[in-house]
Amino acid sequence: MLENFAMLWGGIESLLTVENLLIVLIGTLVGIMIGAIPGIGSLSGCAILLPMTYNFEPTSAIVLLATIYYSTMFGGSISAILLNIPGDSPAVMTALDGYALARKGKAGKALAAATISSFIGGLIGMLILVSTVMWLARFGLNFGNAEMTTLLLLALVSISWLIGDSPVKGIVSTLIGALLGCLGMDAILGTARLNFGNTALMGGIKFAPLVIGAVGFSQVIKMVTEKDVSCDTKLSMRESMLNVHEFMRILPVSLRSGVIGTFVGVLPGAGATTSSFLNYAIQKKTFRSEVPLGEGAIEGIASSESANNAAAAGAFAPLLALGIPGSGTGSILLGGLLMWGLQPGPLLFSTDPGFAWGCIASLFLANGIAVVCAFSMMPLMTRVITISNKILIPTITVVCAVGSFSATESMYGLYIMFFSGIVCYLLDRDGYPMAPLLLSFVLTPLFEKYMRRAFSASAGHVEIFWQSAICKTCLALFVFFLVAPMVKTAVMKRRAARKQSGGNA
Amino acid sequence: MKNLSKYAVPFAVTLTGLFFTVYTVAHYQLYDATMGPMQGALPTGIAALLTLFGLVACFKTRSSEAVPLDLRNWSVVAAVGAVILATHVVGFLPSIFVFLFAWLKFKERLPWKTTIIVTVVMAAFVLGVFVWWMQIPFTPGILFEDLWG
Repeated sequence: MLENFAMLWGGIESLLTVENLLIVLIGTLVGIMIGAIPGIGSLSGCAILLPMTYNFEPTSAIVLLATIYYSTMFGGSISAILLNIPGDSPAVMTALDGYALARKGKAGKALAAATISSFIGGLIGMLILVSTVMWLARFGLNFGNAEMTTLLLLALVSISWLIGDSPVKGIVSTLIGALLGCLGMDAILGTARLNFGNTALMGGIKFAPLVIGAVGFSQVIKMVTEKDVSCDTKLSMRESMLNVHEFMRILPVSLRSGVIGTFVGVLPGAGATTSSFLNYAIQKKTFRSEVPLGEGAIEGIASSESANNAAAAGAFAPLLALGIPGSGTGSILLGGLLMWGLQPGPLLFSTDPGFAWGCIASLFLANGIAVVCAFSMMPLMTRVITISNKILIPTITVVCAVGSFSATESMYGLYIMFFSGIVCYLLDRDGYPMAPLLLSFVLTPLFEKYMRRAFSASAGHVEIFWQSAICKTCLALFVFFLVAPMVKTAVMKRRAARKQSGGNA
Repeated sequence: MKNLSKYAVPFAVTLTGLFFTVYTVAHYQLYDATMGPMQGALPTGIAALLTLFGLVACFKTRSSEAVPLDLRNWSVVAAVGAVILATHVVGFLPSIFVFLFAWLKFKERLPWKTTIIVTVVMAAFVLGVFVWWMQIPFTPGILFEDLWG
């Protein structure tokens, strides 16, 4: 354990250059703003900014994206509290109590509770991450081709956590992403596959322009008909301070939600949103609050905010140690790692410890800087969140176009961005979720590579997939994740039918 | 017509799945006795499932309401399409800056001051980060090809 903290200190030392500290500061400020502007969110924000990291060395690049991702969790609560519009999905539960408190004239208190609990939750998540990540990476060394195949199968099926209300639409999105991931080149034989004679397609569909189009440009198309938001709340630092009693109200909630939130964040596919919903539900059903939840309870804000920051930190454990992204934004980070020529997974901590620990250390720095920035930016944020769509639409379009061109240094990137933007806008408009599409696009080539290597090593025998204990465990969990949602839906339907028949009687 | 539009996405999904199923079966090997699944196996499986779930989505769409299509959303698509076409003639950077200026001034009818400030800030950002720092070779277009090399 102490060895891990020594490594972390090494990571912090490697970050202590003017360039890296500046990157952490910029990443934190940009992340808070992206999180605060309704409708952009961490997924679009990281996607749009991904091309800007090409000229960075890998450590600085991951530090920028990681701090942006992490800081959006802080920013998401600002518009949720001031406008009742969550900047990002993990802040949905924050809006319930935050906006209620803002309407009572205590917006500053709500923001302070959100910021402090975000800091506590994030810190807990990072401490658990530091304590367990090496163990997870060492455990990951036991993973051969068959084990990785079953683990990726498990990750693919756990995408069901992200598919929302309509399982069919979620599955269609997952399959579209998987099919797109197959285009280009066969990873084992090295021959062209599904490129239809197009040489540009030989290298497959490039991740950066695809993701910029899917979540950036499609969002811009949607924004054209969305109304501007207005905010007439004025905030001051003095009004925003919590007293000792208020701090003691949120402290136990933040600590508990931080621990639970971290473990939810580690699960592939669960992510910050699930964590926030789960902890809010636990707070509501199991614990007492001074004010009922939903009516302006700072305990409600603390449970949601602490949990989503802890989950964002926890999600880095499977990403760095096993190469499995936990969310849509995680898939962008994984795509970035692969793009910079790094192979996330068990060997990352031995082959490139400076990079891995630098990334984790940047979260600690971002957590500290975000608290200071969030408090000092409060008066400014009321203006930032109300930037008119009239300005946002053309400026984001320019960033999308320039970024996607830069990703391939050719018009090919612009074409991918343009067409994926249109297709994903149409899908999104009909309720098809985007996160499963991106996750399966990243995971499918990895799954195919390991699966075919395992088959090849075992001379085509399928038994290789249930020979080791890891494979058996992953397959058992795979079956559980596949069956559990169906059983849950059936049980809920039966309960609803029983309730209805009871009501009729 | 409005009721039929709600089938557009699931129908397109089904057709795409069907096309890829037939194409991969026809062009790639699916299985080898000693190597197991080959290059056609996974795409075929995914495409077949896509066809199946596309049909299920079509069936499920029957009970849902059609989402009205707002043509205003397509204005930005048309604008980026125009940028792509103009890029071949005048190059990428001039096209994108003309788009930004024209959108702010003529589509959104913002005041001259706001339009100029936003255009200058964005131009400084793009030229500073992507041209000067990252040295991205943006397409010059046939008009400026000789000039920019």
